[in-house]
Amino acid sequence: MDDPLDFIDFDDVIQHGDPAKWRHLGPKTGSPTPATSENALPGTMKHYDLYLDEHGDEIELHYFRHPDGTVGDVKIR
Amino acid sequence: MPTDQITEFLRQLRSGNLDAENPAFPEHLSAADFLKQVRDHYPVVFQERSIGRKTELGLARSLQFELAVPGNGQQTFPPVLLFPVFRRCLLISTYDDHLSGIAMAKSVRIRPSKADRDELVVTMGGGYKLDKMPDGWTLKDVPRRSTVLSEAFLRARGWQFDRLRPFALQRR
Repeated sequence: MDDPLDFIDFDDVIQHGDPAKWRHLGPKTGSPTPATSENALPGTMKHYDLYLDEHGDEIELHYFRHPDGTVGDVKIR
Repeated sequence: MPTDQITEFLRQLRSGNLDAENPAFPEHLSAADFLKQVRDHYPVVFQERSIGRKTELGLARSLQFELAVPGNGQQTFPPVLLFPVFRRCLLISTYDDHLSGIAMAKSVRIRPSKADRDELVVTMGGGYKLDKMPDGWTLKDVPRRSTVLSEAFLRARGWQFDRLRPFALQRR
């Protein structure tokens, strides 16, 4: 199963530091939820996880988890 | 996709003022087509990685070197360090054949950390990022920011260290 932290965009690594040094705070309330976009494979879930980045700032990690365990569109908000 | 539409899209992204109706807006683009065209305009590749269904590409219009003199600079013949600076950068991420994120930055710099010889300071100049979030595309400001990363981490993330040598041929 993919680890979404391995998929952080490189510019987000520069902004938030090494993902291995982030602290996981848990899923956001209500996460995960089924993905509803028309392109989503059936069974795909949308995840919103909370972390403290290397600078101590709270960030949200958004991503899709597909039924085969792969992830997609891993993003920081 | 015509080159002038890609050029216009990149110009809008650089100004932070995107027109979602532009035919080159990434929702309408094949990632492979987009990458093929931007590589012609941004010929310096400084980061490239594929993982799972994702591809990341760091491109620059040019690579320059800045001189730095370590110590107090009082020596008659001081040693000089050359620090690479990638100018006008694009950091692109794709999943399969769709674009997922495009960050545009004035520069990306890399230099050794003063505190630890195995660590490097990577600094990204300000710019903008167009990101495909689960709820749609968003355009956000990217502030100037530095972070300290190990060389091993950067290599694992596809940093092209051979491109940092001052006299290396720049290959695509």
